[in-house]
Amino acid sequence: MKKVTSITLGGVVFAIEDDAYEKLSEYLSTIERTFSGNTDYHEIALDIENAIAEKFTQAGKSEKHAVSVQDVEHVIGEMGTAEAVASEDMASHTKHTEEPSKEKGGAGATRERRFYRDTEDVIIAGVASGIARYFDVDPVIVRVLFVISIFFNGFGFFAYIILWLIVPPAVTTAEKYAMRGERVTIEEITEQVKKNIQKIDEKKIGEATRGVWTNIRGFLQNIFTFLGRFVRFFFKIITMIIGLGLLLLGAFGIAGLVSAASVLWLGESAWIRPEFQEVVNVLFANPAGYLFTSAVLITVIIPLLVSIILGSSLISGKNLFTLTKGIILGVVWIAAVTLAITLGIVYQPIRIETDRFLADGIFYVEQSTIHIQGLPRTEALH
Amino acid sequence: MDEKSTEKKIETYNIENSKSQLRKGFLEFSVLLIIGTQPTYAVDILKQLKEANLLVVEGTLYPLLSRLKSQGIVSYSWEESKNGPPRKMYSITKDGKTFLAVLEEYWKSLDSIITIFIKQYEKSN
Repeated sequence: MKKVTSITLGGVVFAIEDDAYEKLSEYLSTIERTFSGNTDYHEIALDIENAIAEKFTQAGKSEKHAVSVQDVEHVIGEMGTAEAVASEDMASHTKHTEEPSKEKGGAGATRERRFYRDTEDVIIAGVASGIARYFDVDPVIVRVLFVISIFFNGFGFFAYIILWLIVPPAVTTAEKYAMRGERVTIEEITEQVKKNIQKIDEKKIGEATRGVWTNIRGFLQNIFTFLGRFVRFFFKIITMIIGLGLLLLGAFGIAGLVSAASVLWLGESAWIRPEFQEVVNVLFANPAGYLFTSAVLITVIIPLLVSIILGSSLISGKNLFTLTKGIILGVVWIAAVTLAITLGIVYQPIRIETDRFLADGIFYVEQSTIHIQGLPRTEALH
Repeated sequence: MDEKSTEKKIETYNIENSKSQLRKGFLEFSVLLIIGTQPTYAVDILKQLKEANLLVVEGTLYPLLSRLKSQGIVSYSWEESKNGPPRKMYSITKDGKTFLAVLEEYWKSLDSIITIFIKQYEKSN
């Protein structure tokens, strides 16, 4: 039994076993590094990638028929190792290959490893596995550290949330390569030597501690998978509740406002308390009153609409905001606010009535009444 | 015993090395001849080269094609492929044809000289 990942090679999707993936991606990155002295190295690497894709397709590999280590080895055998390819080509490339060390260093910088969230090894959001990829350690260790650090004033929790928000996920193939990419080292040779030594070390240590570590690792992995499921479920519930709250707030808010506004507009006196009646009368004495109330209504309804969209986005798990929606809502809102303010200033009865009622202490209609200094007060205007 | 076997190893290594030197010299010319005959996919170039035993590792072809392209000797167009990624169809350019004509001329003179050398050598033995 083997874990399978899917990759795209030359735009074709293949399922590939994990060990085969490691091998292939190492091969492709060495190819790219070997030709980094060449100005067209990217194109050459792409050509080789396409050729490999074609070979896999011919061998009947696809999304359903996974590529194995043997397949990768076979293809590399036919293609030739990076060294073999480079040496065969040397005759025509002497100038390029004779002074590769400097150029290699320069091009190596573009293959610098970058910090991404690993979308293929996710417990909550792939933060820990991303860190592990970056520092070349086992994700389980990073997860243990996270859990431990939660007990220090919740440091781990906040660090996780912040990293989740800040660090982008590795989505495209290029990003995945960058996530797994070789770190920049000054000299290729030392890197190669180090790699070999590391391999030997890993083998020795691996053999000695394999049994114990595999058991602990497996146990921890299970716990994390379980915890992850729990946390994700918890987050889902919270998002659902918030989403539902926003949705209801928006819906009831709009319903309430619209019915209140229609009562006002229709001037159905039976529905209006006598204290309000006078205000309503004055307000709608002029047609501008209708315009003003509409503008105020729209000003309040748009944030409620946004709340509805936000709520449904959270519930459905899809972003229902589009640029057009945003622009339309924004423009209408700004227009409505401007209109309401302008009318509020220009259209006298609103101010006067508000003032008077505030003075009488009966009730409180508009908090935002604007007093313009030097203007005569109510009595003078009457 | 030991010395002899190491000597033999060096010998076979040298032979392989010399063969590969010869192949390298022919490779570019052969590729241009194949592309010059008719527009060809990289896969089909590889097939012909392998049949002629001119190529050991396929990967070699791609840097070569890329260089020929940047020198303006060959050009390519993308062709959709039914199963698999789109393929590059390589064809020779006008400059490439003049380039190839010069190479061909030179090859013919090389060939006649080499033939003379071979004949001389075979006669002497």
